[in-house]
Amino acid sequence: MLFNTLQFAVFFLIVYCLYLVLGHRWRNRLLLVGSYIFYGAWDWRFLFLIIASTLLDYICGIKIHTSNETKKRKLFLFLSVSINMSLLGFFKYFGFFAVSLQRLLGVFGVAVQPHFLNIILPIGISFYTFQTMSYTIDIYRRELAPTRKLLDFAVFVAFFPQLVAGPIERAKHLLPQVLSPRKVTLSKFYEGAYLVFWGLFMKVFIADNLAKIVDPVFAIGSSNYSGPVVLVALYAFAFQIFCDFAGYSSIARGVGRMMGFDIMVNFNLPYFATNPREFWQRWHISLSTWLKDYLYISLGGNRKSKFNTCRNLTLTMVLGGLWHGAAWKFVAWGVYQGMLLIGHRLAKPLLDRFPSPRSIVAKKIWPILKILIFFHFVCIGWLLFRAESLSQAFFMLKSIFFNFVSGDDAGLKLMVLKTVFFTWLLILVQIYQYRKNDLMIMFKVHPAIRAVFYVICYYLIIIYGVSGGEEFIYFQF
Amino acid sequence: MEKNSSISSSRKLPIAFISSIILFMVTQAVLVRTDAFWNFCYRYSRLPEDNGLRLASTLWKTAREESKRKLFLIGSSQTREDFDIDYLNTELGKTNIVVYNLGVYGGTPVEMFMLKDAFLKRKPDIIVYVSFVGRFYKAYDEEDFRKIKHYFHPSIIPYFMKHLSMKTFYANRGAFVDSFLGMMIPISKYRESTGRCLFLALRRHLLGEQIEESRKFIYDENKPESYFTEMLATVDKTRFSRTEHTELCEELFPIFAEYIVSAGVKLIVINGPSHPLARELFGPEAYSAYDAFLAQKAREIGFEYLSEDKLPAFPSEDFIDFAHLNSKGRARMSGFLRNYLVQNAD
Repeated sequence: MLFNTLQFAVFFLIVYCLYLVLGHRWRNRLLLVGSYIFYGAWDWRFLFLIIASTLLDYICGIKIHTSNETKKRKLFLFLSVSINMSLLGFFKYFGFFAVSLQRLLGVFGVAVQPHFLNIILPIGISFYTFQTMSYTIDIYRRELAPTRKLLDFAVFVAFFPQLVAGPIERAKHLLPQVLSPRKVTLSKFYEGAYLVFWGLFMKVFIADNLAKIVDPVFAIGSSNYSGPVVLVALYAFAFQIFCDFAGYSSIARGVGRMMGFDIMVNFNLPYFATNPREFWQRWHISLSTWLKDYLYISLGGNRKSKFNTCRNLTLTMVLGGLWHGAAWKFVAWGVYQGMLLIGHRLAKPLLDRFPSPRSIVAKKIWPILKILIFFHFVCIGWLLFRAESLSQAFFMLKSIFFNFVSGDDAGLKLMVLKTVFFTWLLILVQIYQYRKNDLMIMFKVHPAIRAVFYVICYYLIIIYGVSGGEEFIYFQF
Repeated sequence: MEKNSSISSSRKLPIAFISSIILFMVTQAVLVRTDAFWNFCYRYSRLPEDNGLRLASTLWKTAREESKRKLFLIGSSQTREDFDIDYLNTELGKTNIVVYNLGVYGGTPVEMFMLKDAFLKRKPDIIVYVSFVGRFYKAYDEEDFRKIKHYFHPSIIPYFMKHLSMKTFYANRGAFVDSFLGMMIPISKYRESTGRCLFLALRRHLLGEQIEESRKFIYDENKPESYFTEMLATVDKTRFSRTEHTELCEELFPIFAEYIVSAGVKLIVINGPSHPLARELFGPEAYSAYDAFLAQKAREIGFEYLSEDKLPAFPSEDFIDFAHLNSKGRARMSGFLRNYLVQNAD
């Protein structure tokens, strides 16, 4: 059930109406049933998986908390993490590792025929396994007390607004909201409705239309594109993936907000970042903080030598890349992000010594330049991420640097026109959000301006909104 | 109410929201009543993809004509393709008649029934309806339902409910939602076409591209005889058979015809020309049943009916496919209609 479909609108309307008239206990029961219906609408068989994961972490959480012996605590943590990771590995990475091993052995002349399982990836598995693992790890670290209420814990795991594509909520943040009675207020409803509206706009107007520009360029076999075409497609993809994912997160937050929940912000103007560290503080915040808290810090973080810090950064980002999908291009993307972070860390002392601009004009232009320069570094990463294969990514990269001649001026101009047309409003809104340092600024401006803003959005959605219920990119992860 | 410090003006949201809804409804209601909008749509819409918008913008133009007698050519893509509108306007202009081609994709009695008020509102003097046997004997498919929003009128619902199964309704629920939405938000009816028009205008004004006038018909090729024999051998002949849609057409056609005739408009129904081999495709029984049906209704209702035997003979070389004429056939058909109208327009 996709957020951008009539099916979800009807589902949510029913759930919400019931939610408003029920008391706390029944609300949570309703949320659990609703969440399972929401998830089961894709494939009911995978409900068993989510229920199994819920039971495992519920029991492990209590066992870790009640045991005084470190060995026992470690054992139950190991059980929780290893079983969750095994599920993820089995469903998501089995085929990838089998093929990779087959190819590696092939290099040494050993021919093997691995047995492929041909199983489909359960939707959202990467999101909810990470969410439930954070629960047991936090209990192990004594940062959280487990809940004895299985139903409420099940709601935390399967909460439908953020179940299939995040944000990956922490138990410390979401579980108390599930456990305690929630107040649904008009102000929360308005705020939620705005977030849903803006998220839908980003998805159906921007992301889905940009996909029509991007997909033909990255299609398999279209290797004769010139540098300018690849570059424009790359810019378009940068906005597409942002609007697709941030749009989903915004709808998730909005739906949660309407029901009285406070779901974490997952994107905070990431393309305004001026360096990789800042980028990861703004992009997919729920994943980057998860990786930092449970992987990077567990590996040692930046506590020891520079070498260790660099190793930890690379490992974290490679695993972060692999989290996105079972393919070498995601590993390469992770390595690239790791290299960016290391490069920035090593170059920072040097960059800090760089004299700051003195003239008023330079002072204004320099921050914009930094944003634009780093945006291009991000785009190179997106090339690895979006390309169908590593070889295609390298071919396209070569085109940008060594084949920057457009063969088809009219086609290129049209691509630029469309990219600008589908992104201009987002760019203006984000500049305003950035300047005011407030993601909700459009919700707070004068009603007359807001009304005009909404009308523009209505027209753009009505005329250009893609209504086929296009899937969100991050569903595949 | 709980105070939420993160929202400084939440109480004002309904004002902005309600004003935005009112502003949106008002602006589009004004927009679809302006010449500028419809001239823009006419200028930038393209056949065949923008057929619905083209029909609406042509209809809008017809309202501006008050000095001449108005002739509407209506029907399916056959109507759109089979007439040389420039020739007809030159020739019939001498007898003070202005011709508008309102042929659209589909163009079955279902669409004509829904459009009948829109036609009469523009005060035509003569309506020429080119009816196509293939559209009577082909089930309404997904594409037909998808385009229904362009012509939708709620008076069709009881007839749909009578003839179509619930399964068909459910399978095409999106088309019906779009159709009802189109009644409230007119611009949404032509959303895809308006979007294309806007881009074409942007290309012209921002990129300086030369944008040609839209073509008045699409097909203009000469096909050898062998093309048709090969087509006949490969085409799925079961596509054309008596369906629930045939019954729907048979019920709606007389209602439409009677409505037009009783409004004092001269109605001429033409059994549209088809390729000599088309009888094998649609079935000779279907052909004769269809012809007999139209002839009988002509006698009962009192419209003029031109069966295929009253039309000139169209050889294979006049066709682009089994149902559409090329430039040769178009000239022959237009000449015939011109002569017929000169003799019978009164």
